Amino acid sequence: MVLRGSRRCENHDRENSSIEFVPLCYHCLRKNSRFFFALRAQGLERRALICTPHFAQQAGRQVYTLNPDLLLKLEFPSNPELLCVVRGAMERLTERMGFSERESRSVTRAVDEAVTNIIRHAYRGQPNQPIVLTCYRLPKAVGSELAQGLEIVLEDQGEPPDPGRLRGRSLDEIKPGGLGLHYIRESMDVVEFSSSGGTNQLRLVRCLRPENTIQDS
Amino acid sequence: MQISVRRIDKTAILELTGSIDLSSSPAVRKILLNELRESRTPRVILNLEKVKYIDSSGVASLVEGLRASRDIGSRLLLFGLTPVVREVLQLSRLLKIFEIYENEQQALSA
Repeated sequence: MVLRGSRRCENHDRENSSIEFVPLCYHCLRKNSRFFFALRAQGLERRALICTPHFAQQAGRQVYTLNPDLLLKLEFPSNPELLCVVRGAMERLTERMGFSERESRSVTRAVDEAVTNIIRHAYRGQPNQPIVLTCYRLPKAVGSELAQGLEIVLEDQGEPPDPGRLRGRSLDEIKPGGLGLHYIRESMDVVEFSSSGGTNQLRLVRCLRPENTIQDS
Repeated sequence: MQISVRRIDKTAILELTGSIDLSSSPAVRKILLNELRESRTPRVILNLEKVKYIDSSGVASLVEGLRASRDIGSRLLLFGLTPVVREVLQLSRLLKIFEIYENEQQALSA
């Protein structure tokens, strides 16, 4: 049985009439193999599973569904010693995506500065707090010069930043500090900050310029 | 990050190797400010030839060193900027603020 039409997804707490929901957890769905294969024959099993983690959680199982646009996910503690690891991962990823050497350095610098800000300001230097870095490949924008890009989402559970600090400072003044946000804004096409339910989220987007080629594997 | 200090007459040459980021910039800042404020070295030269990366906290340490040198009437000079370091200083509009030279010889004779 597949329920169609508008229905609130309990797991994601949003309505989406285009998604079909299966009123079974993944565990039960797999046990009902006939039903599972029937869904798969219609290409619906993947959509159905979008909402199954909630049901699976009730059944005591955790289900991971992989976003097809996911490129990289790192979960690491707020230890400054790990910044070099994050930079290494970002350098390789951006090179692989087809960013030029200069662009790659630029994106890597932005991410490094964003993580540094989380460590210094959100967590006030505490070294064992969680940081999650997730990178997605952006889909092609039809009719746009910016064909593809990289979306980077950084999440932490520290103190939300002071809105005044997010504006950055003028570079006319020669003084130490306050440059990190300037580097981020100079490097990225989109910089968005939000905070909800105790989680701070920084979303960064860098578009691939048309002259760069995508190296699909 | 490795920092070594050489002295030639009244000049201290600090050779920095590796990445200057949040984990290493406090050490750079400490040594630099110690040379300037405590030792009162008349001329401090930073060799940046082997610096692979520098972040905003590293740049902040250099700016703090520059201010300290001006406060006590000494000089802070840089040489051997890698493209990565040059790019960051340019982005911070600091290229014209520092005394920058191509190599050690030029910095010593400046």
